[in-house]
Amino acid sequence: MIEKNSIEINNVSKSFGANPILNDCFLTIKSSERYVLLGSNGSGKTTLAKLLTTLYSPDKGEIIINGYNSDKDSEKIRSLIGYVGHNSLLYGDLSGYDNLRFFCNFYPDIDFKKQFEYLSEILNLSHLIKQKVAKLSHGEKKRLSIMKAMMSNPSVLIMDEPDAGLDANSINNLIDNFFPKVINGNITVFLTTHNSDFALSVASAMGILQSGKIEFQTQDIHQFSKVISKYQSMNESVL
Amino acid sequence: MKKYFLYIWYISLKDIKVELQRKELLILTTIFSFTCVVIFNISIDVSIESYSRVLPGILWVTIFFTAVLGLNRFLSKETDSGNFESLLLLPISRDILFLGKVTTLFLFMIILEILIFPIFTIIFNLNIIHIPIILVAVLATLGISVLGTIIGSMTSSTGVKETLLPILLFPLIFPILLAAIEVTGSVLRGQTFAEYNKWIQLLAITDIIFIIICSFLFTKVMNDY
Repeated sequence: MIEKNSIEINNVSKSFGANPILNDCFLTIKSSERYVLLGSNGSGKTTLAKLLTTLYSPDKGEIIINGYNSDKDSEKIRSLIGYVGHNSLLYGDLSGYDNLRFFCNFYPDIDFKKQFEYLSEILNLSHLIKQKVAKLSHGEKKRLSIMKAMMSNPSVLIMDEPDAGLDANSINNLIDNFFPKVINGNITVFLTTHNSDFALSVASAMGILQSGKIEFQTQDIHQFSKVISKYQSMNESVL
Repeated sequence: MKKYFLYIWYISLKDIKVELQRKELLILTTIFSFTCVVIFNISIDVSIESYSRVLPGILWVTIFFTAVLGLNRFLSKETDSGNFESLLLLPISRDILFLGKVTTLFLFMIILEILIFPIFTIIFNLNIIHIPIILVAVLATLGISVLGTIIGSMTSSTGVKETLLPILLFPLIFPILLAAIEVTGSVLRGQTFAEYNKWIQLLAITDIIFIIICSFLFTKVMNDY
């Protein structure tokens, strides 16, 4: 069986002013793959994640998600993806439930009640959902943000450092419950992280972003430890 | 088409819900506009004969200043917290988002004007609540909301947004203010509708032009948010 590509990044460059972030970047992620991108601070992981969400446009090259071009079909792409960013992207003055209700208004095909009950239980948020988001801790906001990203039942999930600010229990909950039960081989995941253990636990493909290009890519699970070692040695040389 | 307007309403309704939780925007701007009207009343010696020449300017400058104050708070709160990104991630065209924000600002300013007009009437002892003035208030408010939203969204991510917004907004808003002042003055002087009708037409046309151009511009501005 030929596996379809879910995400294709072809020759993409992106600069902010005179500061180049990505240079002729290539990446292909197959459907249902869980691609983990490692990279030191400032390497351009967030820029790449935001390019995939259509929040940024590439200066050069093209991005194709499930056959749609990010320049021409950005609305369609936004209907296919879920995004977990650095910020919770939730309104602090509203409750978690009101936030989710608001965002789901724009996805008329989803079964809100079913998704809500299923995800709030998996992510252990049932008891917090009626509280104002401003009163939640950083980790709780992050989990709610993950729930929000999944409410629209996306076929591609983009997670920019989802483990940042989460305690060990919450990270284990993501590894033991969220990924096996919710992602479960049905959703393509693009995930960035600094956490090597977390990366090893969830990845089915891996790469390192360095000097604006993705290097040391592999889908071979036996090569993951080599990629991690490479990443750690790169970090040590920077320090 | 029904979905288009429904989505605009969802954006606006969310803003209203957030504001109802905070209440700070409406309270602050009402106090500010009341203070402005009182200061004008104390500092300018207006004779009854010159009411129709001076008061329309005072009324519309007060509304403009209050709108700028409200705009800064309204847009910067969302961009500072990073929440604006979540709206840009919605699977809707950028013009829906723009018109949703315009609708919120428009409703907010209309509520403010419902409060300002009676305050103005009482403090200056002059009835300004006439149908042509209400009509012009609605049209001028729409124009200010459209221009305020586009300029506000362009300046909200800059470090000098509080200063930049009025500097950029005032020259663009000038034809709207001028038309509103002219109609208000004409009504207070007892002129006929035919005499000031051209200003109302000008306002309606500028509103339509601004809505079309600004909706398009917003899409471009938000390309690399």
